Amino acid sequence: MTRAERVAARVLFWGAVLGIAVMAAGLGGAVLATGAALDRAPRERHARGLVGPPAIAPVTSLPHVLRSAAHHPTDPAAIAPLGVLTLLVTPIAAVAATIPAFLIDGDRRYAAIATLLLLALSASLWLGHG
Amino acid sequence: MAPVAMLALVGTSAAAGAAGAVLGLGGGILLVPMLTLFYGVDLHAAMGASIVSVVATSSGAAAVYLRSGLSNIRIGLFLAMATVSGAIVGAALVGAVPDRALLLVLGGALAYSAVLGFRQLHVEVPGPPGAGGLASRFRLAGVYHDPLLGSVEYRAARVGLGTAVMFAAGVLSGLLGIGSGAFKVVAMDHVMRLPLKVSTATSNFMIGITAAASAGIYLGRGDIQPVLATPVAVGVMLGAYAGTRAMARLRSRTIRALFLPVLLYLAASLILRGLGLWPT
Repeated sequence: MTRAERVAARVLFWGAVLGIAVMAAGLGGAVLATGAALDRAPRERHARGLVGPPAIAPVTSLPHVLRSAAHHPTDPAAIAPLGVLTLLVTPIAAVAATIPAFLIDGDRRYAAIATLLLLALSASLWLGHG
Repeated sequence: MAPVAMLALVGTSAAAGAAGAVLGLGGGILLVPMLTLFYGVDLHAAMGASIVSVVATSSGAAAVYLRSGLSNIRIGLFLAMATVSGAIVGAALVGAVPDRALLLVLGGALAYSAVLGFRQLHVEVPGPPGAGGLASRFRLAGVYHDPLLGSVEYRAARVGLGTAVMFAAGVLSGLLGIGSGAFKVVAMDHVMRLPLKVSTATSNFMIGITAAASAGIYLGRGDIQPVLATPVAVGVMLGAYAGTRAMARLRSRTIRALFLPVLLYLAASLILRGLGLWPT
């Protein structure tokens, strides 16, 4: 196994585990906080006088997710979207991590290919938001 | 969503993740109909959950396949360049090219691949590796250990054509927002004559990259709902892990026999969409 394969495998595995763990913690916390199934959460939260998002809101953008998670006191419902974003950026992080690995091994050609791919991914993400 | 329904969703997502890990697909082909038909989930939310499931399947499976040598990172990165570039071109061409003609061409190509697949049903690994110019220059070759066959050496053939198929699959993804896992497997297996296990394992590495690239579209529309995506991701990740364990022990002919019905279904759906006969 090459250095790039080892690094990519580590980033993919731990990125996925971290993302899913944060998602599960946020969802579990939201269920415990409302004391009810999430489809009944809006009514339960209203009855308890809770403010903030009625249930776990859809993930729309990084600034929105970070703002919601930084809000004090922390709402468990705002934590799960952080996990979703962590999971979604994991493959891109894996590609980024291979660049120094290829360079250390003296493989400039594949370091360049991984860099070009990263630029193409960034352009694709930008176009997707546009 | 009630806890019992959530547990059932984890279980069914695990099945989709296992199939995705073995066949090199994102699992969306199984997950989207399942979520919409059996759980009454809105189509956009199902597609958002599908994107999360593709990344979870890819990350879970590719981490194992890279360690075992089944995923070829050089082939994956080289071909991902073509797919992502194609997706950018496809997104820029929305409305400028006739979607239906493209659907018919690619549906026909998949149908032809399915016919080739039936003819190769009993082929465990392709013939001895050739010595192609691009394959040598970019070192698109490797070796893996198969518990059934021992050490298997391989080298990509027809790299230019394989890259063109990947680019076309990317254009289709960008134009229509559909996944292209099946095209990746077809391009590596039939066009580049890589062993089927290497093709599906490397596809698993690539589908996460292309899914992450298109995630911006789903995020912007608010289609990714954590309440749905979390049990799906947990289930898919567990299923993908089980799928990677099973894949190493399966014969290529078994994997091909499982892949062919998926290929035929996709070919039929693309052709029928091209003819305007597919329900939307």
